[in-house]
Amino acid sequence: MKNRTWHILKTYWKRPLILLLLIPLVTSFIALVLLGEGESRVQIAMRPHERGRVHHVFTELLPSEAEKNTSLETIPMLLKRMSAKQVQSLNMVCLHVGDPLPDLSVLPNLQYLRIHGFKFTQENIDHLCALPLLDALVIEQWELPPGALAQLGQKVSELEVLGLSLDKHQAELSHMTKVKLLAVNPLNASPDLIQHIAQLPNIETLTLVEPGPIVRSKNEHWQIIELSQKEINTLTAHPKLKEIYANWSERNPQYHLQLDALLPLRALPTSFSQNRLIAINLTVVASFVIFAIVALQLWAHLISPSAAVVPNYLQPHRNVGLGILIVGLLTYFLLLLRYGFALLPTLCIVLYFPSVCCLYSIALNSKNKVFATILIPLLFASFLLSAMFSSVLFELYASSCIWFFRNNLPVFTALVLLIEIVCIAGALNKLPLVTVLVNENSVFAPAYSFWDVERAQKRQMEQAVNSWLYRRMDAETKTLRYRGDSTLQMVSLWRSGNMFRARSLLGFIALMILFGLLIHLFRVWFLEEELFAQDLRWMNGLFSAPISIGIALPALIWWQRRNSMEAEFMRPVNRPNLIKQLHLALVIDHGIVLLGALAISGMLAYEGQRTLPELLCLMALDCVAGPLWMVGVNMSVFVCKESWKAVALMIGLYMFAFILVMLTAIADEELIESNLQSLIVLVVATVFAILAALGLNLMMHKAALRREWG
Amino acid sequence: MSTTIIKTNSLHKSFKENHVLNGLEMQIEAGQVVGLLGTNGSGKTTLIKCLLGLLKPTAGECSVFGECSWDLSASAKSRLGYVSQEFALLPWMTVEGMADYTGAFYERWDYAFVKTLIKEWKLKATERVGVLSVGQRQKLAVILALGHHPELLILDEPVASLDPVARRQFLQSLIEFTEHEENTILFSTHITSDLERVASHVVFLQDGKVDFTGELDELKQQVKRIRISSENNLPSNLRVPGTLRSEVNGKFALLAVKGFHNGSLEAISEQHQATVNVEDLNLEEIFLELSGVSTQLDAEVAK
Repeated sequence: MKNRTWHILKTYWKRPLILLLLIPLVTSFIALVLLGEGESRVQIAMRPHERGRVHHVFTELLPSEAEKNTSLETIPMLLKRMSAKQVQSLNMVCLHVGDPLPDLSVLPNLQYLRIHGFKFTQENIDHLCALPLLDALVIEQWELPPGALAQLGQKVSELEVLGLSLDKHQAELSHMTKVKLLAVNPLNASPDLIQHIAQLPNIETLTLVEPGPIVRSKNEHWQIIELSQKEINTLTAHPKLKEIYANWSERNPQYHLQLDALLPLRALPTSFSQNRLIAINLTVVASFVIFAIVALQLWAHLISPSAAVVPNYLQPHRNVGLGILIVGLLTYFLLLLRYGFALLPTLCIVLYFPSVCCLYSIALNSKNKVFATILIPLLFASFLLSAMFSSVLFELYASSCIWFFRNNLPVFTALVLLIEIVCIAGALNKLPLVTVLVNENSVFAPAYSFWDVERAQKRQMEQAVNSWLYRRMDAETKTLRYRGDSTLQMVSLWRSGNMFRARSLLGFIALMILFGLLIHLFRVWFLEEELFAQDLRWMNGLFSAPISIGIALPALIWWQRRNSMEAEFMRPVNRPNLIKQLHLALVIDHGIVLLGALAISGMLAYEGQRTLPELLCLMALDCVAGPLWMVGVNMSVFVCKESWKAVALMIGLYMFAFILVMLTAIADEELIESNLQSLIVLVVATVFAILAALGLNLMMHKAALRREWG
Repeated sequence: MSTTIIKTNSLHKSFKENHVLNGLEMQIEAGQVVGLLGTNGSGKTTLIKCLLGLLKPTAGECSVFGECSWDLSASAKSRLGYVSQEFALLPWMTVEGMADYTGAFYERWDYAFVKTLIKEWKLKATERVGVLSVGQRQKLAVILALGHHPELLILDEPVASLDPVARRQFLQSLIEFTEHEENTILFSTHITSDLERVASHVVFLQDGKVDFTGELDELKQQVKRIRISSENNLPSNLRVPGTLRSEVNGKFALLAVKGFHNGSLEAISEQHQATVNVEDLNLEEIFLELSGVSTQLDAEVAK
């Protein structure tokens, strides 16, 4: 028995593909061991929301200042550039002490205003309250006229007061009837601040802004605030208050409190460790790789003829596979626990991708169409969920995520865990059946078996032949005729031989966008957020989906055709033209990447936080260098005969690009001091990236010319 | 004057340490139907792939239509038809779609001819290629190779998966293919009876070299079996020039000879006062004798 297990284990490391998969596995293991909490943190505390692009304007400039700093802008200068109605968010800075607050009534659509350095008068407050759409206000003043806070609190629903000492305005707090989100700096308040804030009738979110290190060192006596039981009771009894963001962290805490005492209020941190997010992503990747290794090997074993004829063949293979899965996942589970996540949520994260894969396998092979149809949206939702752990999107859902990480959503956690376990157990239980079904029926995944290469996949097509996609493609082949020497026509001809078309993925992307919109509508509906002119980072996540598709899918499309390429090489096209046409076909297959890249470039332009040269460089990187590099990498499929060599080359080239980008980013962060230097680095990096991508394409093209197709 | 269609000159091909072709010399003229024979691993498929430019020779040269095989032009390829051993096709396409798709690459594609062949060979035009049986797919691969009326048809074991009826149809189409036009065919096969039916010439490969090349009749003329019976015991080392195999059993002996001529028979007859009978061999027997398989089989039986 031992001997048999040993033999089965040996088959794992005899496959080059599995050895390749071990590379990301070992890398993620080392990274998880070495990473630690780190200093880098993602700010997640709720602050007044900016509406669209924030325009930075200053009070009147002296002629000498205007000459030296051409980037400084005043309101009249801004209005020369754009219509007053377009300005929704403004950051107003007082350039000289005593400068009066400019007339903001010229901006009728102003919704978000950040004011810095002004000495306010009652007239100024009246002026602000008269702005028709103003709803979010950030004031960085040390003083306000008496009654100003009450007046502003009846005007805006989101208010942040950073420098103001609230002691003098305690009586006004209860009059701030409209405020739903309040962000204050507690360093300037007395210890009973919380008690007063609890009197705000409509407050839903309270953010106790974490002071910077300099402010903290000057106010050491305020660093630790004890919340009394009375204050806790006041907070928890508040009918509308849902979340309090503060520095609750164990290291250097501002508040000494058992967070559970605040339940059902959500006591959330103001920031979250970036490394913890990276740890989640690494674990998700590792769990996927472990599952992929086991699934590939089990699949190869179970679809072999031996599985049908050798007695008691399946059980030991499944046991070994299960053993590897358990040991692997347990290792990463323990590693992730080091990052301070609760037990059950950690288990949820570790089992997440294996269960998604199982779900996919079940959906793909289910004979029950209704069941399969229901599972598809679930799968999409699962993939969207994975995007949440990126540092950009995490900020949007941080509250719920952190609550989940702390196991404060036990019912949800238990439900997710149950679904995951059922999916994995179900798939493992049905694995022999699933592999046979996949082998016989799937047109998307031909058998991986290396014992059974010659086996006819006759039944593969039988279930799919009547689908609309096939009928559509039949119609396309009927219209094919010889088009002479036109390169583009030939490219189109080569591409029409592919079963998988990049454009058929448009439907998939449309679904992704639909789900994204549904989630956004959910946020608008339940969280009462704006439909447009909002934080659009989630859309970046959506549009990066086509880009991630481009990483490997075009190569996969042509890899599917590798068997027939020997005969197809004999088409009447000479070698240089053949490679040129295939290269161009691959470029066109990456069109979908360009769509995503263009959309992201549009988003970057819309955000308006970058200068034109910066924007152009980023667009060149996004729309030219990136897709070109992807094309070059995916040319591996035309360069390498063996699949594992192509995969190794692709991984190597992507790793190479990743390391270069990281090194450039680190050099920019550590060594560059001025904006101009940073821009120069960006321009040089952009030019280098484009040249490198072109060079890679040239090299791969030449290598493909030398390929033996037989 | 005949035109050389295929020519190899000291062709070598190695895969790492495995030397498959070792200085192979071969020439095929227009209009010849050449059967490529050889045991497994003798280099038939490697030779075909080198000829088509699918593999790059390690050393030496090979050309098709006078062009270097590795750099075949589009026009040379348009005069070529090829059916590979794997005959991998695009499984999602229908039979008809596959024919149309292949035809779109060729300037002169005979849609009517292809349609007729599909019908004659009993393939269903609307059926997916992936649903076809191995034999049906092989038929389709052959049809697709014939669709543009190539001047040179290269087939790597084209009938291995065909039933006898389909094989007969296939051979008939090959005969028609060469009868109507001055076309050349090179095909490798292990079914020697088929080869005998259509081939005009034979190339026999052994250990990556050409062991015999020439007309089929010439080969049959050269390789014979000699049955000797004498009144006295025959010497155990009985040989004649060109002996491939010798089996001596007392007064009886059986020799397989390559390069047979009557002079040596008369010498044996006189020397051993023996009766000598010469037997013709069919191609399969010649193949076994030339490849040395008969000798091995005898040795195994003797053990």
